[in-house]
Amino acid sequence: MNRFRHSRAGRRSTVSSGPDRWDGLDPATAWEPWSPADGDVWDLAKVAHLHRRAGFGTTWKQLAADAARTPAEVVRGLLDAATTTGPAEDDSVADVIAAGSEARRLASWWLLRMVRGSSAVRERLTLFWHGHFATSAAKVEQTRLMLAQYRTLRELGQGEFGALARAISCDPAMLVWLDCRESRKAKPNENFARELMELFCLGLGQYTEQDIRQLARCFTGSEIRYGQFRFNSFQHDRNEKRFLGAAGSYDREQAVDVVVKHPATARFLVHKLVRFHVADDLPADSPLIARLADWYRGEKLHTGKLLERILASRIFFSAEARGARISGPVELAVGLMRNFGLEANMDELASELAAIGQLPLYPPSVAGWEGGTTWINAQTLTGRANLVARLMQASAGRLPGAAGLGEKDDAASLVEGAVGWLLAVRPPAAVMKQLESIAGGTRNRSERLVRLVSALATLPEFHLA
Amino acid sequence: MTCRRWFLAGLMGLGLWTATVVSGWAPVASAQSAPPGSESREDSAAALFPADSVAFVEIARPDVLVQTLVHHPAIRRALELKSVQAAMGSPQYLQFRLGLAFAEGQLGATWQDLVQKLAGGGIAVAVGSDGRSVAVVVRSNDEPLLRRTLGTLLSFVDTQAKNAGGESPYRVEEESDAKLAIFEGFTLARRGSDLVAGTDRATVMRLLGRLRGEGSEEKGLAARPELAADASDGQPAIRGWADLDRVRRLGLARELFRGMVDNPGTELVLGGVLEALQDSPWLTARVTLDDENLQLAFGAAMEAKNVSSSRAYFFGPDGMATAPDLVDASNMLASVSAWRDLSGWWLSKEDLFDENTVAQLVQADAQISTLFSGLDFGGEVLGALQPGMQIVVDRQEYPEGVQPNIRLPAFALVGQLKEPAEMGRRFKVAFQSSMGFVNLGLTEQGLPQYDVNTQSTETGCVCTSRVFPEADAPPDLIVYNFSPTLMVKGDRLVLSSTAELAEQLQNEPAAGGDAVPADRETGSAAVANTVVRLDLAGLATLLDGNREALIANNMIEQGHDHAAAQAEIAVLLELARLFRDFEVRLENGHGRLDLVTRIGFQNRAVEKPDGK
Repeated sequence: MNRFRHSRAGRRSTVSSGPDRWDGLDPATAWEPWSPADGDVWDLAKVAHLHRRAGFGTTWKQLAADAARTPAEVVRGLLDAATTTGPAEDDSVADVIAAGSEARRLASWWLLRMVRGSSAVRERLTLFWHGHFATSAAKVEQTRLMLAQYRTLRELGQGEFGALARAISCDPAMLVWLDCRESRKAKPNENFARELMELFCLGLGQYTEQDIRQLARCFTGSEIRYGQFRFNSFQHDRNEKRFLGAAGSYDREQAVDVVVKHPATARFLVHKLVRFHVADDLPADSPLIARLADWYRGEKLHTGKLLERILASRIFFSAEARGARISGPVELAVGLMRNFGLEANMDELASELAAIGQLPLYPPSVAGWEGGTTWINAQTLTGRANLVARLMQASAGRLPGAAGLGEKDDAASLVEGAVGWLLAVRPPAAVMKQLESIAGGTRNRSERLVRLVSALATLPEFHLA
Repeated sequence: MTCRRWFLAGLMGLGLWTATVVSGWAPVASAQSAPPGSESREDSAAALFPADSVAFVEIARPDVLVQTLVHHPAIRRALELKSVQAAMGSPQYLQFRLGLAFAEGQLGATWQDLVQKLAGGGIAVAVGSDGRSVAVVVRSNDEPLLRRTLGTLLSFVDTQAKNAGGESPYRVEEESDAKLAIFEGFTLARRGSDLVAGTDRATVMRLLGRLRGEGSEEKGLAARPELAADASDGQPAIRGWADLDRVRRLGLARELFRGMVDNPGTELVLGGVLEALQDSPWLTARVTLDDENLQLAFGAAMEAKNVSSSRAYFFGPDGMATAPDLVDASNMLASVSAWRDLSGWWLSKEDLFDENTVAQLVQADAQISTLFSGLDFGGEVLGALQPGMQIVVDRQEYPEGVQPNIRLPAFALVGQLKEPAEMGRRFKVAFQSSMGFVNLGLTEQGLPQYDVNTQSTETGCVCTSRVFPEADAPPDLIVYNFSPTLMVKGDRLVLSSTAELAEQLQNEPAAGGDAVPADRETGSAAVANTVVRLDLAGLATLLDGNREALIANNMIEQGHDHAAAQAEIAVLLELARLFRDFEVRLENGHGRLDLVTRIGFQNRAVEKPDGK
């Protein structure tokens, strides 16, 4: 029995079928909770899709367990796990690393936490916010500042966006990254003010250069002392500022609130979060985005609630959303390791991820990683396939996450299971035949699985989420 | 494969071996006993091998070595560790034990008896003059057992080949009083109770001839005086020798014999060793083991009077300079003492390093000279120090309630000034200037600055830097208990990472002279050029204090979760506690340079089975 059902089996292997395909969805119902119906059942393929998009992926055993629960229960369970803080020893290890190592090692530690941590949802959302408030250790240099920012993103990322934005406005790593600690009332630095509006809240076209100059005055007097934010009242501009149609002698927090409450903020954030969780190509001006943004605003920009609505929605489980994203390098590697329970040298993994375009804590610019099709080129595609093959080979046949997969021990069931588990889009029939020949032979199951997954990694479908 | 399947396969193999042992290797196995009047077993194994061999390694008494290891207190303690006990309960270990028991049953003796009987006369290995061929001689005390073992081994090879659908990979030949099994590129021969094997058949035949007593006038490798000298110096567990002239001619390990290393730090530590290796015609190695220590010693030829001028900084003008006494401290972890003329080292840079390294040193020279008011760094600053350097590393005690994430030890450099009155002040000003730069860097990073306090004393000065106490500093601020200090007292100069260690060292007496006693043969004194001493028990305590850092490292490098990493580090720390101390000595004199390393085991009595 085919345990997976790919609604558009073999029909779409890339996300290039165009953004107009979203036009047929009704904004009024697209974000309503999905529930199984005739011909659209809750099966292992949908469970795998949910885990891939909410977190990074999960074991075969967990997949089977979740298939026996309702979709709402699984989504709720994932989000509940995301609210736990995790073992205290994880934080003490991070403190040790921050005390004595370069930030690159902290990136290795974060990757390890993504792989082994109890909440993949929380780490993935933190990765999203890290890409949003992109800050690079290449300039910040101080590991403990990067750790503090990571903790802020992780702690506040699921709550109201306003609190997160206010925390970021006084985050020491951000102050170093955007030169805000050098901002004096006599010479305000405009970098943070510009990016707060352009990249963090509103998007291009929603503000003027005059707004930037006025807003920058609100952030004067920000300093860092002993690795912590310090407000220097002598260097703060207390006079009235006028920006985005508001006027007042705003301080830092009040200014952030003015920007966050702007109508464009909800729409800007919803579009980015939907791109990260649903589809790379959903247009920003789509009525689908507008509808969800209205709801998000009504919920005081509470990201946890928005995430739950997205993950449980009809559009999330729709055929249009399956394979509609290209996995980022971190999603690809961490997903594979979580799926199979792999162990690896995380420093080496970090170097390999850097080579294919995404090393956490080292985004390429203040705009973060562009994502989507920019992840893929001739060089990175080879690098991604090689990375998968190396991780699988290094497992030496120890694949605890795959326990129970292909129990019948025949090539067809092994391929069928692996494709449904690991791929969002089913490859064409001819490719499936080739995969069966690769997964056959006299070798033991683990060796065949290693060969099979290495072969899968060379398929375009493998890189879609 | 499960244990059960393995066991069944083993039983099947046993049947096959028993059946084939008579037919396959039987002609070899039933060869005659050693012919009369052929050889004396007392002959040195070195004499068997041709004089043009490239390298030679001998374990003269493998049975003694095995007994020493089996009853060694450190190994017995290791076996008592919970983690090791747990590993011994693993399926892999049990499978290994089962395989071993199977082999013992086949041969009718325990593995220790097998070593004693099969190799009790010694094992010697040599590399041929081509640098590729290898030959081995194993001298047994039990000819029937050797015969039976070879029969079993070759039957197993036959069975494996048959199971794979192939033919026997060797052919059996008889050669006078010896039986040979000839493989592709490998020959195995038994003559009486001796076993000879090698990659080159001609060499194997020649070794068999030597065992018969042919060419007894040739001394072979035994003619090498350095090997003879080593043999006369008590029996090591393992000894080795290499013909460096021949190794150089063969073009092997070229980098090792270049005589240079383009790293100033490595040159400072190992320059003298490179000097010896560059020209020495030979290299010897000795391993000795007893309940207290494991010692590994290397020797190479080096005449003190022939040391090159660029390495005079390392061995002294007459090639016989002696390291100062070791410095001690209350919680000493490591102490290093070496005779080095730092000024000579710096000024010889053009002869010692490549152009790029020299360019970097010249740049550093200019920058450091600025700190010393334009004095020439090599000639005037380093030249102000007496040759000889002492380094001490000390475990730090932290005040109650202070728990840094990483517990670093304190360390200090101790030297002697030639003109303390003038240069003491120069060093003081340079130290103050350096701390100024440090403070600027700390400010840029938003970290607290150092408050530098200078006190003049009757015989010098003390400059102490302590973190400036700030009321608004967070309680968990990381400062590692650093308090960089410069102290000049008389002609003594101490540069220390903490004020406490500097204070200790201002009057610290020497730990004892380290010159080697008068030489046994020539009467000339060999001297210790460099001595390094580590307190491994103290290091184990330091590692224990940094357990979380080790766990973090393990997690990242192995991809483990916290629990798995914690378990691995616990084993590492338990094993670290088996050792007491470690010492390295570089000694020169009587025409040779010796590098002697010794590791001491924790002395805790473990009763041997015989009650001794």
